[in-house]
Amino acid sequence: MKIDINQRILSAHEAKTAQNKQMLAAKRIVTINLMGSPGAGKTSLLEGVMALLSPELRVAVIEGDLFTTKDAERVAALGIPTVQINTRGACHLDGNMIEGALAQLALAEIDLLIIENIGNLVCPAEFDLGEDFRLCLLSVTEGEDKITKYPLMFKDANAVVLNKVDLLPYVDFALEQFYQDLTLLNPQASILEVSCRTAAGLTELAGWIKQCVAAKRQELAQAVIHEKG
Amino acid sequence: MHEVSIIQSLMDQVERFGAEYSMTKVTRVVVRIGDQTGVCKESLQFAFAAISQGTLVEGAEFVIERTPDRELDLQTIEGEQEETTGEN
Repeated sequence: MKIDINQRILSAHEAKTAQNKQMLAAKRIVTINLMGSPGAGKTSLLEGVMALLSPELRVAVIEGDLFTTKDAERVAALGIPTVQINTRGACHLDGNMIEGALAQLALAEIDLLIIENIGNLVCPAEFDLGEDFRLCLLSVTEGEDKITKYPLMFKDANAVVLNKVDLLPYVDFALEQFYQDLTLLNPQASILEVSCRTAAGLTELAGWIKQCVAAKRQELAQAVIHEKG
Repeated sequence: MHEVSIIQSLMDQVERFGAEYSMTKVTRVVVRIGDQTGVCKESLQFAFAAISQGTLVEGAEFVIERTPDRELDLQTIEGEQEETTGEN
């Protein structure tokens, strides 16, 4: 016998993600999925930008890594509620893992949730975590060719942040090519240059994040007005 | 790299439908995978063969149809059904 199914293979993950997203929206929490290669500076970015967001915004962080709590310890040292997810080999985070992490956070006391995904330019692009915004981080030491080599990662980003720009004079990163390729692939993305080491550009990045929070809050408020008719 | 998780989800789905239709053996599984997903066909085949071992899906033909977009769908499954006794 033959059965026609026509169902998404990741429907279990997607259902869980939709549920998480609904819960976050109900608590008025804005979520950012932070993605990029290992060593691009995702955790350094969090360390650098946190003082510019907090206390205006109450931030919490979910840290995804294969092993260790090193990153969670770095973020928690800033006084930020942090949950570490260890995937023990899995290359991405999924809806189930996020559900488990959310259960460990005091959601009523959070305005902005940042999920630092597993360092990887391939798999995390495939797994929507219910985020409102995608922030992709690339560092100049990785090379500008990563935009065209890993298009799925950069295609859906709301912002692409180029880190380690203080090293531009010492590496062969073709900045013009980077802008050209990225604008062609994803014309909507905001592009920000930062150096987490010198703190250059971090104020602008914090500004972008605050704008995202304001935009999402307005959207949620309008949804409430519509519901009330 | 995440092909194994995709096949694990697929296997859960196939086993669920297999049980629902009282299949004793699944002989063919057809999926549709979009070119704009970061999924590698060879890794899927490999993961399917490895993970289906010891299940009712073991030995089934695994067909991957490529599409241009972002599909990641289980299309059809075929198999042998339990012999019905009377009522049906």
